[in-house]
Amino acid sequence: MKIGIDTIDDVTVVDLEGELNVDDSILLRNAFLGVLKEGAREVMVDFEKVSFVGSAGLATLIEMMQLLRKSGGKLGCCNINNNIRGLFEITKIHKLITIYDNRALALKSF
Amino acid sequence: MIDNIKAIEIEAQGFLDARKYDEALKLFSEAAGSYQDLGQHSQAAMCFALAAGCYESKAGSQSLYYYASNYYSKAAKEAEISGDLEYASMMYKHAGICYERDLEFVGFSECFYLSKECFRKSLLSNIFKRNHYAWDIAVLKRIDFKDLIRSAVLWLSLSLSSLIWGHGERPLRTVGFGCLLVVFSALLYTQGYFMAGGYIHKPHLLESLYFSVVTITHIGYGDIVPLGFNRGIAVLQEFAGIFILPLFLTALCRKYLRF
Repeated sequence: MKIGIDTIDDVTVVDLEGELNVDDSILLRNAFLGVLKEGAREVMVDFEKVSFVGSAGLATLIEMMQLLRKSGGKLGCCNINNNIRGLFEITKIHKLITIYDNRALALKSF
Repeated sequence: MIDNIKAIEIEAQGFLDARKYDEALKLFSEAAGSYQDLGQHSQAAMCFALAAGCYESKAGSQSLYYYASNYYSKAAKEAEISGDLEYASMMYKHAGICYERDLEFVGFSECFYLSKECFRKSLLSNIFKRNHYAWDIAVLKRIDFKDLIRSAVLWLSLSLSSLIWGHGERPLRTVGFGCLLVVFSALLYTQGYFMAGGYIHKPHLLESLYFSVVTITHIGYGDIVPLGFNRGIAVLQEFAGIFILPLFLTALCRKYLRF
């Protein structure tokens, strides 16, 4: 999995590419802890190029959401395809993490 | 082992996308069991939640809700172990909803109670265990203190609700709380004075207990009159009594009229 990190208008955008499974979720977790240490509080994860999200990926997102909330920040996700959206809905994660249709809308709402 | 679970998950998600819920839930359940064995509770919680979702999606008849709620409960327990208390609270809530649809009110009652308790604990964790990245000045400026105060007030009210009547699911707690209040007030009464039959005296414990029960139940024979400090205690006890009896009756009806 490729992880790209960028900052747009104080919002840290995490671009993911590939599959988010057990090994990759560790990479994502480490990358996320890195941006948190640097002071990022508003994080948006872009799922445009993600084809698969496993349970480890979902668990990592929940952990990220909790860490951000404890730091007074917030987490959002955007560009989620229908299959992954289905996973978010079936595990009820969509009630904890805000999902935006696209990046522009997400950045506007943050 | 991990590669094996990953393959199972991919296969399960394929079935889920194809709306083959039976096959998907079996595989998600298997993956959850494997994660449990490995001690990876947050992943196990997600897999149980996925299995529960499969049951719920498939559920057209009542009996399937029972299985869905069972898996939601398992997901909640795993999330609780891994420390995801807010997610655990939500999973318990959904387990409760499925139990209710299945007319399984014992399960509903337990899940409703646990959902509230997990939410209460998550509020406490948000208030006091803010992670160590949070305490620099720039971040402190960004912390929403209104939200912090709202969380603290919510935590206090939920704690009180838990203590007095177990969020409406533990009527015996109201009895216990009422008894404690009677004894505590009686002990306080022994430090002040009563007037009975025209005589002012310092009451002994039995007389205080009698007066305490008469006051909290609003019987108020009027044979004993509290004086000074005891008057204040009696007013407070009477005020508490206004709430305790209705809370007990509400919790009792709420719990037992479902059957």
